[in-house]
Amino acid sequence: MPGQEQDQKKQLAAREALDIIADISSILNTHLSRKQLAACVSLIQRGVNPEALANLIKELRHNYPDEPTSEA
Amino acid sequence: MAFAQNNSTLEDLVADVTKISPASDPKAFKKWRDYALKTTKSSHWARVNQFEVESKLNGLAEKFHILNREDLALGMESSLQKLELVSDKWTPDILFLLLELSDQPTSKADIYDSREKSHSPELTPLSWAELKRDDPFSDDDLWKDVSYSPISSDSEDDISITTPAPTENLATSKDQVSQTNRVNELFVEVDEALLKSLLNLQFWVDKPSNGIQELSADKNTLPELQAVREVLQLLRGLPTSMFEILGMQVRYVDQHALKDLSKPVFASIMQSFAALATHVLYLRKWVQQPVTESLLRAFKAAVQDAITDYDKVIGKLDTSFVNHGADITISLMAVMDEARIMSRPLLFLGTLIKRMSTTSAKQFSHLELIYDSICEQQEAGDAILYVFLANIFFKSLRAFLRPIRTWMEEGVIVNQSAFFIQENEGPLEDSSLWHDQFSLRKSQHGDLLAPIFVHAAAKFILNAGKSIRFLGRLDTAVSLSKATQSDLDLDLVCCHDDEQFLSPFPILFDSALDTWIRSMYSPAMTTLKQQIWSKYQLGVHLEALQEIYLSKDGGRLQALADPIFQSLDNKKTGWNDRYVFAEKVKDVFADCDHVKEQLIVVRSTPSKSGVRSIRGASNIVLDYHLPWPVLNVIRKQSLATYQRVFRFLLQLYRAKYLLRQNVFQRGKELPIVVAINHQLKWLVDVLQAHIIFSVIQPLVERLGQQISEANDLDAMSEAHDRFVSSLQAQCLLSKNLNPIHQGIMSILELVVQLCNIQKPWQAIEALWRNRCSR
Repeated sequence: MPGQEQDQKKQLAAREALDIIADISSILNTHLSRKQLAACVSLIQRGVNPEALANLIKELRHNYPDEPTSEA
Repeated sequence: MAFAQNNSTLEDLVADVTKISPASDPKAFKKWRDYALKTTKSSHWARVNQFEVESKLNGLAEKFHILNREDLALGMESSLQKLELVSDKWTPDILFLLLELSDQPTSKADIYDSREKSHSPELTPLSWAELKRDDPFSDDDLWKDVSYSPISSDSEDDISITTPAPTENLATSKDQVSQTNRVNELFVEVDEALLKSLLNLQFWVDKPSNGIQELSADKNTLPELQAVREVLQLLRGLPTSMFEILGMQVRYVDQHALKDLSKPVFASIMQSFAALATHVLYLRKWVQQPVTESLLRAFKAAVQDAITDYDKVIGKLDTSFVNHGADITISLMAVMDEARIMSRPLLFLGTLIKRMSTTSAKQFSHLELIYDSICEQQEAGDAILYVFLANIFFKSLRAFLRPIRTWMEEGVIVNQSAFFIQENEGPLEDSSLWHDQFSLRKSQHGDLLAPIFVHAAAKFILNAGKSIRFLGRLDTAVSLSKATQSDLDLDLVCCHDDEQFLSPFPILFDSALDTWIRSMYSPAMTTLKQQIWSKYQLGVHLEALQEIYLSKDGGRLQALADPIFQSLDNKKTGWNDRYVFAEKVKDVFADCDHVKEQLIVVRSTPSKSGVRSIRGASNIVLDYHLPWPVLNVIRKQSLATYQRVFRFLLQLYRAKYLLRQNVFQRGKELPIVVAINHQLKWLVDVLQAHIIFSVIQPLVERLGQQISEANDLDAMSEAHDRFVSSLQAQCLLSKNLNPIHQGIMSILELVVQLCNIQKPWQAIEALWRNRCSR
């Protein structure tokens, strides 16, 4: 069905974009795991302030300094 | 809905970052969850400046380049490029988040190793070609000589702009690809299966196997067509699978047989073919040997043509077996008979060539050999061999005739060492140019170094070239049409008409060669003869010689001699003064049209004998200087004979003059004295008449006739030489007749002595009579 095909295409595009963003994240050494990155992207796409989100993550890391491992 | 989704996502994020779950530490989890919600709740915030984000990221990529983190820089650039294709309105925000969270990527990040690496461009190793392309380290113009001439800046046309050479020579990858494509188009794909099947069909070809081949009875028999084709291929000199060539031998090596023929018989037949092919192989190998002499090269080319014709005939025969359109019986024996017939001329030629190497080392020995063979075969009635050998002979002859043609048309010797005419070195007088400049080259035994069939015409060939050169010296051009005569060939020499075929080849060849030579020889000789006769007045000079030396007009001799004898008898000094005599000569011959006074020179030699001796008058010598072209006909040495004859005639006239002085009175002389006087007078008259009328006149007439009939300068010169030698002999002046001449001279001396005695006696007698009369 065409609706499903479009959803699939969207999903594929989203996955591709996420892959690219994950690469950039890896290059920039953000220490974000793929799951965390996906959550961040999801929140930003729902209108969350990226600066606030970044501050939140910094605060959390400051209080809980375990470094997240990047996805293999 | 969105808020709820946000909540759950935030909870997940918090749990993931803090590693706290509601189960493990609910208080802390709840605290941070609320904190997260509170922090991210505000809905009013300024949108991220996407240009600033972009600029930051580009700056970061550049920073990576500068810090030599090419992996990060290239990864960043490629990721950004790819992101552009899939970006949406939230991409700048996401990138902003990543920038905020980035933690010293250059110092801390490991070597960028992710799936991006597979997408990143491969760093190919640098090649010298690329280096040269970008930065040519060698410029051809660098090594050119610098021109220090002042060149103005305006003269840009003088300065050639050369492109760097390496760039022209280097093919770009595109060119290489296109070249490769073009090359690939030339290759045809081989059908391996078809090739294999063909190879399998040739069961007689030795295939690598494990030792002895034990073939079944069916596989041991060959189709006759295949055997026929193999032998025809062998005869054409092509490699075959059933025969092998070892050096100069062809051997049958196969072990198969025909269906209805036993192995030994088949092997015997094939060995016969091998023997035939061996003889033909000898010719093929001989033709491939390099030679330097032009005559041998031409002969080899003719033999090669014969071999090619033979191959064509065999090829036609082969085609007839392959062409299924025509009905033909495949028979190995029939092919054997035909091959023998076709090969016979080549086999004969092979035996000739073997004989050639053992005969003399003359360059033209092969021509003589073939010529003799042609004559033999014609006498034997073998028309096939006769025509075959004649064709080869005439083809080889062209190289031999070429320098002859050049010599006869231009007077130039192309290759002196290989030609039978040589130019003699050393100083040459113009008067002997015709005779001494060129001569026929002979061996130590005196044989002419030319093929035997040219011997008869060698003189004509020599004279033709000599004429051209002589005319060149006379500054006379000869108009020879170069395309006068085509080269000799079989059709020209031997017509294939049956009657003509019966004519002996030597006669036909000599006739054709003679015609060929005369076509080039006649114009030059005719022109030369005309020049010598008309321009240089050979006939006039011959007449002059007869007038001066041979007493053509006796009155002139008398007019010339009387004053001398008078002065001699009167004992006048200066009687032999040459200047006086020269004046006298000029006066005597002034009215003679043929004699040119300016050519006469008078010499006087000291007298060895007494003045009144019969030889006394011989002290005066007349020289007539002929022009040098005429001296090539009337040789210098022949003028000495003229002078001797003139001297003899003068001596005879002297005796006659002296005897005429004696006047006798009737009854007053002693009878014996009168008788002696009379006898001597008679002798002198007879001698004189004999010399003039019986010797000189007939010889002169014959000379005139021979010279007018002469074709060339040689004939004219020979006619004159014969005239001179006959004159000398018949005037008793030759060496072997010297005793007779001396005898005559002593008789003429008697005349002088008689007159010497008689004069004083007559003087005394005259004195006595005077006294008596008183």
